Amino acid sequence: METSISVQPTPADAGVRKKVLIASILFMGLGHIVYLRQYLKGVFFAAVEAVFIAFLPKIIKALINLQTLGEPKPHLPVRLRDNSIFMLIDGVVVVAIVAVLIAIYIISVRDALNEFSQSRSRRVGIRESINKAFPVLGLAPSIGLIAFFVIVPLVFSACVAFTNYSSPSHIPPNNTVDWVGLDNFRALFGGSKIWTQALGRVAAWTLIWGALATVTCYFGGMLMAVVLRESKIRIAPIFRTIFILPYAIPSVISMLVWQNLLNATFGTVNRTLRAIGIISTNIPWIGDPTWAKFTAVMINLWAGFPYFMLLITGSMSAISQDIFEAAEIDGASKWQVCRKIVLPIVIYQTAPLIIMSFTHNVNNFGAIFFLTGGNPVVSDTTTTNAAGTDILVTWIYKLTVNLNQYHYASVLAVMIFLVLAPIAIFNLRRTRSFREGEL
Amino acid sequence: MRRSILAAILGLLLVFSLTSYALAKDVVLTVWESTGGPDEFIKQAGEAFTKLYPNIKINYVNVELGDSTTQIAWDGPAGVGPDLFAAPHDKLGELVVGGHVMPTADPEQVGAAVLESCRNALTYDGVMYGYPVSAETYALFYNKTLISEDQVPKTWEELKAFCKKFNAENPGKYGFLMDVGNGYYTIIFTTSQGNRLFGPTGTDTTNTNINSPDSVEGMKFFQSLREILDVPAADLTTSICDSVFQSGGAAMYITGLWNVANFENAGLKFGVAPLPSLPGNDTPPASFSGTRAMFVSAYSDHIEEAELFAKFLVSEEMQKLRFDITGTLPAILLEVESPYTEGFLKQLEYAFPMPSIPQMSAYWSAMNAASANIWDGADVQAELDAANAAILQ
Amino acid sequence: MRARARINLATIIVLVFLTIVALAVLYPVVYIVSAAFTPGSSIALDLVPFGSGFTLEHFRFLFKNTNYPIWFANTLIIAISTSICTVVLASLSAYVFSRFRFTLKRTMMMALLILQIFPSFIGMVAIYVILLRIGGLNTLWGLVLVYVAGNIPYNTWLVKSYLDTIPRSLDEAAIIDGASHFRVYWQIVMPVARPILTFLAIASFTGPWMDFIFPKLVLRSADKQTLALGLFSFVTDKKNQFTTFAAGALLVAVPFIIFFVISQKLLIESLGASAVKE
Repeated sequence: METSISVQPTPADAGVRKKVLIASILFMGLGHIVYLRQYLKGVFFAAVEAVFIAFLPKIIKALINLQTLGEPKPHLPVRLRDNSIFMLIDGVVVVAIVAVLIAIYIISVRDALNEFSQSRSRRVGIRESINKAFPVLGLAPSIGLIAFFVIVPLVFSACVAFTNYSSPSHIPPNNTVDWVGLDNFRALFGGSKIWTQALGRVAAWTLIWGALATVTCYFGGMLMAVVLRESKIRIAPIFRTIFILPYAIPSVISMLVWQNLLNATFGTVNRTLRAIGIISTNIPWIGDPTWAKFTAVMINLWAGFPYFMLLITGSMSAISQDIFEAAEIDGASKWQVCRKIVLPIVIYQTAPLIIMSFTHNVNNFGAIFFLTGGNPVVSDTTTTNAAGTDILVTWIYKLTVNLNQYHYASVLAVMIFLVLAPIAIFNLRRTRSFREGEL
Repeated sequence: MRRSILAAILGLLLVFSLTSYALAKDVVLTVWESTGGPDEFIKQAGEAFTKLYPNIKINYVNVELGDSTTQIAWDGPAGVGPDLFAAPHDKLGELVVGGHVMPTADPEQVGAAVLESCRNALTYDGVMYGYPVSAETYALFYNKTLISEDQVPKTWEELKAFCKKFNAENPGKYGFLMDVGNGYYTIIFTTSQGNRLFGPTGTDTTNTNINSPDSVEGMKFFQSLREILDVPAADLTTSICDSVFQSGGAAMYITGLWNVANFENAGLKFGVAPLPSLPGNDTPPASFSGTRAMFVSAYSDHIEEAELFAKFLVSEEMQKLRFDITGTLPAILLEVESPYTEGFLKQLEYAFPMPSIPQMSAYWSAMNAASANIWDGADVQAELDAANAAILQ
Repeated sequence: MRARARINLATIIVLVFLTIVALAVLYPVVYIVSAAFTPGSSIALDLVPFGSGFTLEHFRFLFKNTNYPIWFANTLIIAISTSICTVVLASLSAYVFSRFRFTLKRTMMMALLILQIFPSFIGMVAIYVILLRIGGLNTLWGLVLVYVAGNIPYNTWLVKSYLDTIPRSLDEAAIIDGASHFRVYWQIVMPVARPILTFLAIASFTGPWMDFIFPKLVLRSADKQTLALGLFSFVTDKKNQFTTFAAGALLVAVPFIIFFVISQKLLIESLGASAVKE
């Protein structure tokens, strides 16, 4: 790693330093060009700012549009009217671009000061420049992609929660969309008793589902991993191959098939069970709200345990043999080895993944939607569109697609985020890997 | 006679347009339609059209009927939209309010050439939009090996009586099947005594009439049908019902023309009859009729050429072609050979077009849920009141 | 020399248990396979799979009457591109996070994980407009950009955890010898990180195959359709051609399954590497 040799600044140095600082702030790269003779970097930074200034009118226009979200212009044909949502998106993108510019600006100023204190204006070659800029260059593409394809959509989506973007009277381009502040939040959380109740019900089930899905898949996978590893059966690899199948088959297909198999009256599961004589009346696997929840967890287990089985098997293989030998010398039984050595190590290693799995399951649209469609229908479904096994994401999807109530859907998304993010952050900070190290 | 006059008028118009556009430059029209038949139709119609207008080519893109309305809202303004797209008429309100479609060119002439139900279905606020390419409704399918033609009930009470006997004599089979959690079908029980969704013209945005006394009566009768079809609503999905009827597990089933080809391919011997009438009524109940129409996109760069192609699709030749390929009812008065169309045409006489006001999109999720709950025994009035509120909110 | 198999009660119990689980796992698989080969359009309601007969008509239909080969090719291109780009970008940013110190590092790492939580369908409209502005709509590369961007946060974190366990001495030796950072990354550290990179390549390859939502958003013309779009058109708009859908999906699943089986060992090593090493 780089060690910085700092030269004690003399009073004369301090004066030049101030000049470098001011120059860099005035115009990006100015400090590099004038004082540090680092022309490559200087020109690069200056070019960035120049491009930005060239686009300044457009940028300002986009920011203004962001604030007003366009005016209705009924006299124009539809193609030429103000499209509020495009304006909103363009506005957020422009904000992101401005943020990136500010970041580069800060980097350029700090870089100038850094260069100044380190090398006192010696000429630096291209290769060395690029090498020193490696961290920035390495991160740049990733940050760029994330900024525009993950952060901008997220911010946009959060913004929609504060607008009235919905059917029937606020769909562009024929109509404009307007900022409405906290109205949507008030409507969803205070306005109607039925909606608030539905929200409570769906939110509770979402959290329970997330926990159950994660726990069952993790420990189910662990069970299979341990059994397959410890047993002496020679055809264990064949079983392992079979168990991978649910992971290999596209889950959409398997969910749709399960949905048909589990149909209470016509599905083969019940018909087989009745034919064998295990049950006499049909079990409403996906017809009854409580059964449906149970079924969803079970089918998710079917689909999800292979991933953890493979993960834990690999994790166990990576444990060095020395530990096992030492334990054997000490006279531990296989069961003790397993419980006191293998399991703690495996859990420590995979703990962060469990948290990630929880957040993934809470947002696991496919696992619910393709199996039950959120159904069965319950009493408030008629009003709120939220059915018996709907989790928050599937409900959001229905509100978006069926009812075009984009603003409410966004409010729900924001709420999910506000609830889950602290939980995730809190748990992540508690994992030993975070506390101990350099995360 | 009337047909040939209309055909002549259309023909003259085509010739007139031909000469006007003889010197036009090359144009490619993008057309959105579903797969499974309509795509073949568009491609073949496109080829026939290019023979008449060598400078206009048709480019088919697969956007399903159910998706086109939401997709045009984005692709149109973005400039990557189609020139012509297929949409069901009940989305007309949404399309017009969103500003996505152009009114029909020459509405009197096109309107006169097509079926009245189609013409009405495509009229919004007094203006006609789009060009109908097929009409559809649903009717009572019956399995000829399980029930003979003269046994087919004309009233629901007769149906109930038949089923009681049938179910007792044929355990494991069903006298009657229906997709009970689907507002597309259950609407018929609300139409007793002329009660109609959103009023007689389907445009009353203040009242759905779903919870009117006639409607409640009808839905209570619907609830009583549970006696002869004792299966929970969650289990009677469309695909399951299709499969059961197709494999000969039911004597009667309410479904539409799209299934004719499937049932024929499965070797089923079946017939089509109008729906039985509700208690207290003499005529078949009003089922939803649907018109599938081609709409000219308001964002198109080639509006005139698109209108030309759209009118071409409504012509007698093309309608015949469409029927040959897809088997769906033409939108114009055309003699088609099929043993099943008689039953559908009769039902079509009593059908009323799905309302196309924007509130219609809220109807589906509300009524689906209400129907399922009612079938499973919920209080009819309460459910229908809730549905009414949800739709109007 | 054959080892003596010791048959005792415990082994029998385990065997029975494994068999029951295997049957439960295979149950729907058998029906999926039978659906692909059953004549007619809806799934047979038979208790016994393959009870209604056996036919190859759906496969013939897929290859003759639809653009299945084009869908397959497009999806393959997208999957390979996504995989390569994800591996390169994620490993690059993971290396930077692992080996360099700078301000806001911890915050950025935390953010990478938290960003995943926001469930948003409406956000897709933003992606649509951005792609529109850069000319990426209806292109395969536009779709790849979207997938890669979605893959980076979690996988950067994953690879970084693994890289943290590779001793710095390796880097330092190379730097003393005069190597640039890029060379250290590319020629020293990456080869050692091969297990996790393999896992990453596999995981990001499998993602795009059956994804429906993003291709629907981005792709338009017939020559750009993917498998998911093409196959799903068989079960929408009142069509119930589930058997054709099953046949198409099976054709996708079969190479997957073979691939998984062959690379099982590789996969286990890779997955073991993905957990944080002590």
